[in-house]
Amino acid sequence: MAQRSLKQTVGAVFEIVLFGTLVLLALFLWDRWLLRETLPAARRLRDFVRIPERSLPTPWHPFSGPARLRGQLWTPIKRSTPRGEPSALWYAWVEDHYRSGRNTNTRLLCSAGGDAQLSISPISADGGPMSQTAAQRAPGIPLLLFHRDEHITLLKHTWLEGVPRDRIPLDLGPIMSTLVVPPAMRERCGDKLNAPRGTLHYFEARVPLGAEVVVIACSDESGLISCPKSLGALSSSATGMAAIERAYANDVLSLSRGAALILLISGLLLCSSLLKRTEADGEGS
Amino acid sequence: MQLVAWADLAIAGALSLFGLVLFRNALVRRQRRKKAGRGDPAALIVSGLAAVMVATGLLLLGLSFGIGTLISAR
Repeated sequence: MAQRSLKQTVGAVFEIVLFGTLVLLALFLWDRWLLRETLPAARRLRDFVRIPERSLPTPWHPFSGPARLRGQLWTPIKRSTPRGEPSALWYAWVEDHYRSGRNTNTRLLCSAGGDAQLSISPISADGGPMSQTAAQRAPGIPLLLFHRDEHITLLKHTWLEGVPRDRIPLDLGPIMSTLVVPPAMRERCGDKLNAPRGTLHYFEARVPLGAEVVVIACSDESGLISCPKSLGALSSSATGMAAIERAYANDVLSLSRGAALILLISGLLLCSSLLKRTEADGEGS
Repeated sequence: MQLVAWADLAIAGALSLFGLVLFRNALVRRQRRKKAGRGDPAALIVSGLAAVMVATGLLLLGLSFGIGTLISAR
């Protein structure tokens, strides 16, 4: 009898704590999540989606406000990826994938990139973006989107991938992955690759020289820059800004999904426990 | 009109489904106890929480549809 009443007490305490947590969570979510974060973030996303498209002004003169611009990406530097692919812009990194118990962990060992001195020029009327080399083209408009104190995020096209609003997202299309680390990358990384715990994976994302890109940027005398609050984006993907907009949307919804899952699990636990315990009480009385 | 991710439909669906099942169970029990002439505060709490679960599921679904439509409108 004493054991049963102890069980009942523990059950009741558990229910009260869980119910209190749920109430606090609900209040927190209503105030912080829905009113202060999700709705303003959804409004900012709407503004981002509605940024007007405009053509690159030639000759160059700054324009007001953010704009969606389409052009070809160039660099005067002779630049190629560690695999030797000529590129206007590239990022590469090496990850160590190792097993720890039942889990597979990933750690970044080394990263490198070439993103200095970029310029963007109007798409040629002959429709042959790759027909001219950088030297043959007129100098484009300097692209300084992420060359100040901005932080960038490279889209990796994973499931439910999100991008925080204060980052400049770069969508360079599909990311190449191989188990062979090119010698140029090994040279750059030096000792960092010497003692991997598991298998080395090499990843590379690039924009070929003269490839068509879509940029969201503001402008000043120096060229295309990020807008206040780090608003800006660059995409070389065939779908334009679609992946970036989806990543922003995922970021807006991530907290909601987490909260909904917590509510689902705790609600089920609490309700089933409450119904079960009080059913037993009802039968017992 | 489209969702941001199918995961939203799965989460919202699970919340709404389990919420409805719990709501129904609580309702049945309340009626049974009422017939027996007894109150049932636990079933009342469960039905309230189940309603919150259904509402949260629908809210998540609405947000996902709203934002999904927004980003696919271009």
